[in-house]
Amino acid sequence: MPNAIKKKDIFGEKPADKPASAWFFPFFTSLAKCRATRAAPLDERQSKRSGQLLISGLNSWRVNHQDISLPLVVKTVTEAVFLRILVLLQEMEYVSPEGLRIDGRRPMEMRKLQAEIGVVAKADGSAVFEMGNTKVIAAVYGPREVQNRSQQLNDQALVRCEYSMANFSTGDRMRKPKGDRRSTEISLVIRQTMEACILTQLMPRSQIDIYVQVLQADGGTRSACINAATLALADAGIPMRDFVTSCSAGYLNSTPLLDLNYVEDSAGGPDVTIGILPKLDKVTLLQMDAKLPLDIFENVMQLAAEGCKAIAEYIREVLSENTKQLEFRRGV
Amino acid sequence: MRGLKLPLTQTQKVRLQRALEKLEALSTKANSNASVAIADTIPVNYEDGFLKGHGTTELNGEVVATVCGVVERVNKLVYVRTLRARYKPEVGDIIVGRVIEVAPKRWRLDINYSQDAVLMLSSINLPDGIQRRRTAEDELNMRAIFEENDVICAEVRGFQHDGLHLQARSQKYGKLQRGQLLSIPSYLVKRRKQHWHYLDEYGIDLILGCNGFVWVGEHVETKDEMLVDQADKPDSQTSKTNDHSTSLEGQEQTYTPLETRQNICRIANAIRVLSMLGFVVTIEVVMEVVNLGVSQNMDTHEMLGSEFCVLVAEREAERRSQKKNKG
Repeated sequence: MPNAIKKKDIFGEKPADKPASAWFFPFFTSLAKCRATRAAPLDERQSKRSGQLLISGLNSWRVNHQDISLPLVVKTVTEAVFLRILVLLQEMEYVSPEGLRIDGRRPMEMRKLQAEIGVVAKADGSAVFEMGNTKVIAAVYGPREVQNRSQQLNDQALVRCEYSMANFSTGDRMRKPKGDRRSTEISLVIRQTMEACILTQLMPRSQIDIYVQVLQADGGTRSACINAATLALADAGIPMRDFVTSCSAGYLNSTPLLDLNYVEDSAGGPDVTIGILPKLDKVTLLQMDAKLPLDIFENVMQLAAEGCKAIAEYIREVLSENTKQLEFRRGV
Repeated sequence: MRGLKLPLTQTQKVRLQRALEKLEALSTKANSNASVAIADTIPVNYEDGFLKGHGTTELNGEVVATVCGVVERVNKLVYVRTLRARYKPEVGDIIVGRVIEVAPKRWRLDINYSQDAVLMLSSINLPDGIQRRRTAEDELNMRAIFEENDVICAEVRGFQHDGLHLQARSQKYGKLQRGQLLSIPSYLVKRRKQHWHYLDEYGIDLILGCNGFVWVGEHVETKDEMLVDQADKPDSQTSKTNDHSTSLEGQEQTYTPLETRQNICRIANAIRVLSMLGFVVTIEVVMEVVNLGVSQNMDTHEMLGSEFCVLVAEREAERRSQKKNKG
């Protein structure tokens, strides 16, 4: 980064006393920086506002220096800015020369895991799962009577899932937390993943509801949701073939990175989320929204699978500790 | 880890920790590490042959658990007993349920099972106490017997083609009124000979339903219908119907005295504390907790506080160690 300019400087009232380049470049460098370091994206509204500021700044600049024509300034400035952004995005350093990531982890290091069972009193099973700053709560109700009779299945249980993000989960407060396409898609993903491991044929004519909510979003919410749902299902005593555990991995700066956080996630690089059944060694979920050469993809996926296994080990520990507690407390 | 959601001071935390450690030490000797998590391999003797029970499946020739719980072995049968799962009915269980629907000739009850239970009109005793065929008129008057949201005590009759059937063919079964319904995890209620308890020093009925629904209510005298029937066989029909209507009105007028209501709350809170700590709920333990509360001069509302919770844990540890020494 050439120079660290504060926000006050960027959105300052009087840009006129500075030459155009000195005013614009820091703005965009720190814009890119914002993208890289803040926990939330700049939404459309904000960037529009900054655009307006830009124009108004330009006008006042023109008023003071009338000898330069506005179109020329705009043209040169925009060209320079876009070049600069491109360079910045390419140069953005996600892995330092010392081999450390932005949050200080090694490339193959996972964030700290934390799980708690039995957090919702009324639910049959519930859990909170944390991966670093990502925090997800899951509650399972059921197996219970099917609410909508027409959906009842006579040979297996009906699994339903609802994913939502709390309004306060992101840096910018969310306006419409429910019913958008993203959460519908993730609900579906979680439902399909969990259905693959629940022994639904043992609970015919009943329904299992899984509710997951993101309390803090810092990348990898999808994985955290699946892990939390697994814990909650196990707590509810629902028979499963195996745990499903999920973890993501990415590829930035020609390095495979395990368990991306928000900054790395929003870098726009490939992000592979996988869900595996560790004991059966099977994959139930694989998502990637970018292109990767096959050999690199294999590496990245291998890394994510290793992460899943580590998570499975942790979940197993938590669950067996919980069972032991319940049993000795019950006595008899 | 399942934690208590109570504000504990440092000393209370230490005391609770010590009590729980004591409990753990007491139980580890009895049950030698039989708890499994999902996908754990269960060691079995393959030469002897074995039967896979609930909560197990076979994977690559190994027996693998499908739920978290405790491995139980009965002769050749190997199964996993889950702890925090929903109630699994067995024939003859005494359960408490809530009516959620009045359907043709039947009531549907929520009993904390994966499906609703069915109580047929033909498998209850009619309020007039006469054994006869149920007519269409009876069917129309079903709401006079049980309405939606009524709490009912019944017995599991068995599985029929359309689900789990219940029966209530005795005076002691039927509608429960003037009391509290508590719902606790069903693994905390042990199957025993007696699930009705009349606590005469408090004037309270306590029903520990096998499904984890617990009823604490004012005591009602159940007259043995058969004896009454034999005593005044003639003109039973007219007198009974009158009897019934007056008793209904009488019930409306009689109101539960304050002391009884306080006792109900006290016993209910004792059960709440036990289920919060995850201790098994039996009549002896409940009475002990109630007496502990009385002896400590605890108010009813204080029984849900952290101090009492710690006290109960300590007392339970003491009780179990004493029991162990005796036995």
